[in-house]
Amino acid sequence: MLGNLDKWPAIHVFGTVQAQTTPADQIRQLGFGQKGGSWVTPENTQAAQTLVDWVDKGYFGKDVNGLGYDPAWQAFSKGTGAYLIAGTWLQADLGKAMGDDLTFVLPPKAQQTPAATGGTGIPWAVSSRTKNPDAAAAYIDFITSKDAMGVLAKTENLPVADTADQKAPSAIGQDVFTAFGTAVDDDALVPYLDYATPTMADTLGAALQDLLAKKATPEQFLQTVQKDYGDFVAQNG
Amino acid sequence: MQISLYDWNGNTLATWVGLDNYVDVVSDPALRASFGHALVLIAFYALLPLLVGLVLTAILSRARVRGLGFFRTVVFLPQVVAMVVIAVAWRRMYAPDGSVNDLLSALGMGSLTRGWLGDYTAALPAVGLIGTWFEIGLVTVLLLAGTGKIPTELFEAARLDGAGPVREFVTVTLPALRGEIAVALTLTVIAALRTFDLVYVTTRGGPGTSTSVPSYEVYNRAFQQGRVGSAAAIAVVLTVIIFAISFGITRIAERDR
Repeated sequence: MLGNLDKWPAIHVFGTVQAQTTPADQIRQLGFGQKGGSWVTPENTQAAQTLVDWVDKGYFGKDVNGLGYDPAWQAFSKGTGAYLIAGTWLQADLGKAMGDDLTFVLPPKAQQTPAATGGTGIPWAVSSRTKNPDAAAAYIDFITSKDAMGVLAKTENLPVADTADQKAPSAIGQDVFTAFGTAVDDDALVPYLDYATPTMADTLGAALQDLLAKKATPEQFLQTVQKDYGDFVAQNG
Repeated sequence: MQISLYDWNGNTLATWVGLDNYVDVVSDPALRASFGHALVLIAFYALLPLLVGLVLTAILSRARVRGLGFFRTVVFLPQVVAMVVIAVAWRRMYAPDGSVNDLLSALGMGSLTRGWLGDYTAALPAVGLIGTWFEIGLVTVLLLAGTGKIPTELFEAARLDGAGPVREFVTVTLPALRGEIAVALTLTVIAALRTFDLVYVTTRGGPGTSTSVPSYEVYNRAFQQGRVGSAAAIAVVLTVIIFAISFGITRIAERDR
């Protein structure tokens, strides 16, 4: 099921579906806003069409665009819907609500490699103009240290560095850690699509609401997104 | 003003683009639409509350209602609550399984139920009605205060001349309230045009861009998308529009006095 009132949730669902139809290197090109990619491809059209089919078949539930993200997973935890395409950030809340009834799986392997939408948190960087590069580096060391990862694991978050060294506090946590380990080993992560340009979160979010409500066809949807991406790479690529 | 003439991402060096940002405000269909949405909101924020407020005033000023103070407080209560709280509460009421749909189903109008904020035709009016509910209190209290100033002799004279309730309202109350109406309209129209928190919390401009308003675009462009120049241009245009409309209202109110 899906609650898309907040605009961004459908981006994750589309990303997951797209990863089934479109080669990972193409998705990375589009997701990182690199030159030379195109949204308007048969593979992406198929992904968009799949989303529309899922609306028709009622997989998302009624009123996709009218339901908030939080009410959606709360309803899921009480037995509405069959699958919830979400992320590790719900591990603690859903685990508490559903206990052993909850499992976490990667999207199925459609091509040679599995592919899952994901990112590892906030991208930290040390500016070349900083006066204190050592302090910045020390901080990055600190937040990626084994102790820090241990705290993340204990609080039902995902320790992204050396995941295998950490012990999950719950069964669902173990599912998540194993899945993430597999995804990293297989180089399966594809970026969140809204990384691409400063405006992509809004463009893609609004366009997906249009697509899900059938205000736009899959072709029109891809044209809208392509324009945002195209304008950006033309200026910055 | 100065920033609005540049293409600036808020961080690196800005480039001079002259009036391009202003051309965008007029030529970009999504932006133009957001100004249109603001005009629709004026109807919900200003005109509708004024209408309801006038009717309430007409009733309340005629009959000496017991517990008027209590009623005034209740109607005014939304004004005291923070807009974000109101928005969160209404977002819950408008949800697919929220109380608005429950009420409709209970009244046998189950076919009308929907996820109000996710519906392309219903979302903007739904947001607007929150504004109506919010502003009715302000308008009514202003108008009631105004009627309190009207000398009772005027009402008595009208009644002696055989005026009914409607006639009395039109000839005595309405003209005397001109000043209050102008104040109420100015306040509510400005509130409508600068709506931001309501849209930000309830719909984020969605579904699609069907509830996007200029203030939301200003915020989004300046702080989310790094298009500070464009945001500044929208803000300047919005300020000019607000100034023009409130100037217009005051002029009309004072000309006929």
